[in-house]
Amino acid sequence: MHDKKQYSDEHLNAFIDDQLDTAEKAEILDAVRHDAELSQRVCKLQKIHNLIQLSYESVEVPERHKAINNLSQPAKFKWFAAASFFLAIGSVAGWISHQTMSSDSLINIAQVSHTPAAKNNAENWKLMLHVSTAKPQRLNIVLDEAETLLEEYANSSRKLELEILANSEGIALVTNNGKDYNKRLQTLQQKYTNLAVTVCGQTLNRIQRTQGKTLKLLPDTTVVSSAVNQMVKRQQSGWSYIRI
Amino acid sequence: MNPLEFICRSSTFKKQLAEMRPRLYKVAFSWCHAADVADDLVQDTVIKAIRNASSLRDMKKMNSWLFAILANCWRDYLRRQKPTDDIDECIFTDDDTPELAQERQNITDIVQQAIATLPQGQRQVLSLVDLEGFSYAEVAEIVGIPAGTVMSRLNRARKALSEQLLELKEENVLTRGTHIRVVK
Repeated sequence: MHDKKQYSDEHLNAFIDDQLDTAEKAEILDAVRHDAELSQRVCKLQKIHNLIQLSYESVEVPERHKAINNLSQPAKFKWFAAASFFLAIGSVAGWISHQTMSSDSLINIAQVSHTPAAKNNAENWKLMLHVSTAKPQRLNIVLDEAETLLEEYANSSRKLELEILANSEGIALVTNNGKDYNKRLQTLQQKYTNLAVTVCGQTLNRIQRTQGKTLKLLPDTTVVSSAVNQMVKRQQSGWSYIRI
Repeated sequence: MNPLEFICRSSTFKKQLAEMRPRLYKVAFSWCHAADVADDLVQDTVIKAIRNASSLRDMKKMNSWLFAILANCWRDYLRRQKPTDDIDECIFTDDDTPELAQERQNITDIVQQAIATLPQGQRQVLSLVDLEGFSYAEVAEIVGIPAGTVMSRLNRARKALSEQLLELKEENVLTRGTHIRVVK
């Protein structure tokens, strides 16, 4: 039997902001797995954290403050750089930090972080992977995880709907530039019909407005009005969400 | 510092300052929610940073040093503001037109509006943690408040936003539709 420990909101904030030491993080992570209510509290805080980040990504920076050779300098998120992410499953969400379990694949992490209610729906899993960086290493992580999941679900009776959402600098993934990761994504799109690729319309508009460029996207890429709208819409429809 | 070190440092300083400007702007915008004010704040910050470059001892701390300057500029700006009600800021019943309601549909606007309603101290801490990923200790240093106050302000801010954005019925907030009014 897992003893329930009460955690203050300040403590949970410190957890999602990566202000705790490894032992404390592991303790909360373990408690989140066994306590649906705690999981919901963590998820709610994380959702607010994420909404704030996304809401200011689209702020247009005046020309004179723009960094040279930068499309749109993204904010520095320590948790982001450290490959942490959150996973929200409808209203009963599980959350886990990648930092403490870096050796696990997304599949393993997602499985252990499913709350009992979510497990019942695990036969049909809808998952959104969100990327907003152009770092090739990160783009390849998205593709690695997508490929692993698609393969696993293709070989089982379970169904998976996977959406890769790109915004800000992450649009490098869906731009037809002939890079290795572009080719990989195209191959995955051709192979799996349950993979959808979406791109933020606001980012495209901004690039067109500020740089006068119309980007050539990979075939079968759907342009959505904005990344934040799409993220909220999917979560409201019970999709899991992972930002990489 | 020998001449070579001085040249290297100067070049790194300039490069890092240029790279930081968009980030400074976004945080400044999240504090004031006015493009012209954010623009001025960043410009002031850059000027002060260049003038006081010699006071920066450790280049590794340049980011938090720049945000501390920005926080000072913001404090000065608030002090200069006279406590008057701007007629353009007053809410009138008829201001809520279908066009404005339509505009509010955009989630980004809704979130930014919710943040704009927070007390400025909470807003400041929230953006430094959520947009810039600073540690609580760094935020305490930048803003000049104890780390415990950082935690409590952050907690109050997130709680208020959660109540405004997540706990109200979704159809009323995040998916609010356009309201059509009957004019008699």
